[in-house]
Amino acid sequence: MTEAVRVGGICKRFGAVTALAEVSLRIEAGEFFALLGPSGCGKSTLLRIMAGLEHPDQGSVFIDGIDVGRTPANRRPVNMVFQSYALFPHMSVRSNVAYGLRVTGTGRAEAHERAEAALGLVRLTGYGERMPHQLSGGESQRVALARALVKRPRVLLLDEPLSALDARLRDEMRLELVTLQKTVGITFIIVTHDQEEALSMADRVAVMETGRIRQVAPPAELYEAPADRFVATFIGQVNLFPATIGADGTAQAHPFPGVTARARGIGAGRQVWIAVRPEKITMAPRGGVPAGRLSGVVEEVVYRGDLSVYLVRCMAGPDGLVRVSRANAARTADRLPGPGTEVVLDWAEDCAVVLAS
Amino acid sequence: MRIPPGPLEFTRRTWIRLVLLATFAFLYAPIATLVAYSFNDSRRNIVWRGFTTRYYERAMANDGLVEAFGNSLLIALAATVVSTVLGAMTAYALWRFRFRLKPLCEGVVVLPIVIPEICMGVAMLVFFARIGWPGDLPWPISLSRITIAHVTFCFPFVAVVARARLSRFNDELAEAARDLGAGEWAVLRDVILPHMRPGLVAGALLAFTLSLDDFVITFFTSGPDTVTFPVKIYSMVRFSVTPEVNAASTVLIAVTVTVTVVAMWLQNRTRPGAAP
Ligand SMILES: Nc1ncnc2c1ncn2[C@@H]1O[C@H](COP(=O)(O)OP(=O)(O)O)[C@@H](O)[C@H]1O
Ligand SMILES: [Mg+2]
Repeated sequence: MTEAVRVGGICKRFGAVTALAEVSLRIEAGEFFALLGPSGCGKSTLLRIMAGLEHPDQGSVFIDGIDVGRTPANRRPVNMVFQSYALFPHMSVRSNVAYGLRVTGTGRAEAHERAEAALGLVRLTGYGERMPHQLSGGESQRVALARALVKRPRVLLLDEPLSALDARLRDEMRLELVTLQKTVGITFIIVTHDQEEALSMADRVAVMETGRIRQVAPPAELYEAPADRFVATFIGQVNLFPATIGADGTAQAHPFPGVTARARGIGAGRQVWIAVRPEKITMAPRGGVPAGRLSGVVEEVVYRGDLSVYLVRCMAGPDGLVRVSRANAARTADRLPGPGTEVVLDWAEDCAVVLAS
Repeated sequence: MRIPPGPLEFTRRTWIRLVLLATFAFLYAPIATLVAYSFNDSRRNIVWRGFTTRYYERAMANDGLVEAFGNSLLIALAATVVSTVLGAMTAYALWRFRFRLKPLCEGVVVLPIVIPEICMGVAMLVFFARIGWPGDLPWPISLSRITIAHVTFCFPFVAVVARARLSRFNDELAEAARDLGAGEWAVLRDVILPHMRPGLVAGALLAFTLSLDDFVITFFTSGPDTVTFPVKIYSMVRFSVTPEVNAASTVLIAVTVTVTVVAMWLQNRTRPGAAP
């Protein structure tokens, strides 16, 4: 694969705030890439540096293998879909979409033809004469997409493109964006704080925290093999047990003798965490089955429709609650263990992941 | 049955209606009287003697008055154009760039608005005398003194209105344009200026009306051959308030109101969305 974007050692400060600290990243051509992280972690800043709208204090940006450090935003082969969509309010939809072509010298006829084609691509044929204020949120967004795509950029940058849409529309647009990306074959880099969005759309995800990249991996790897505690807790739910590496290289959780996991490449005596996802845990009433790894009492059941979350108390204190989730495969709830039921918890050995930090 | 007025239905309460009525009467009665008496068939402006347009004809026939009116219009137009361009550039510079002593500059720009007009007038008089600006230039160059003086107090209004408009600009629009390939000038032309336009129209309108009816500063900067409409009316009033003066004033009111209405209509028509 060839690389589309490479950033190396990017640092950016705003006064006393460090927005980015030594960020390096390589994004392949044709990839759907997501930058995921909590609000304020520097995702937008990184995207804007790629676009040339912000200048890094340090570090370099390569697009298609060319150093664009000295290339101004208007001459970089990337285009951006802004969070506010930023449609020009005094121009019709067609003029908005054609703007990027017209301003760089494309003739009116060709620009309008290509604008119509781009509008067709985002399923807005016939909207050309409308003004931006006559569009719904979803339509505005698609106009913004068309306006960026019409330039046939090497890379399309999208800053929280779905955050202004309502939940239903957001689900639809996720699918549509993925399909669109496959159709046009352009590298997409999307910024989002919504882990579900990142996992469901992207080929690879970079998880960021306070200006640093914590892990870059495909969605499944991110979820099943998180690199550290931040990634494990930021993406989905997780039970964390404080543990120590024993002499034989296995991690042993402190108050829970049954909770162990095989650790690789971590020295004996180190303090680590054992992470287990709630849906990997099986739950059975105490008595019948073998002892399992943990035993406790169901304290609370949270019904979520497709699944229920059980908070099982295995020990007194705030760390003694274990979260278990189970699909509601049967229609009636009475066969599920209710609060007060004594249960044993178990999971397959390889479901427990050791986190060194 | 009569429904009692709701808590926010102020215009349905009797005493508020009376206050409103009194306010309007106070504001507009003098103007209404002025207009009405311009049609009064009497030498003296005291009793109503019947309708006539005689004084409009007489005002038209008064060469001095017509010339003054032409001067005023020309000065107002020129001052408006120059003030609007200057004001737009000032507002843009103050909004776009960061530089040393910027707060001071912002203060200095609005200074002519707060300085008493009489002081401005005297200052202008002294200034033109000091630099020896010739007073006997051929028409219409002879109006340049008054025009320059008008620009000095008109352009701050344009700058202030345009600056206020710019503070509501969404920076992402400029960034989007840049991202799509627009250079600095193209961004200004295609995104920022269209955003400023309503502010510029409002500012230009202010400048035009301010210039058209300015008396104090004009009085100090006009020469014997460059009489403007307000100055001319003043000199006529010094002898007596004739219906001719009323007629001339009514024309001035009509011009300002018409210009305002046309400008507002234009602005509504070009506002995004008002077009089909
Ligand atoms: N123009 C700016 N001036 C000052 N601080 C900024 C600016 N842009 C971003 N920041 C700060 O940099 C940090 C990262 O911002 P941003 O990249 O927008 O975060 P994210 O998009 O991940 O929410 C934040 O703390 C933010 O306050
Ligand atoms: Mg952001």
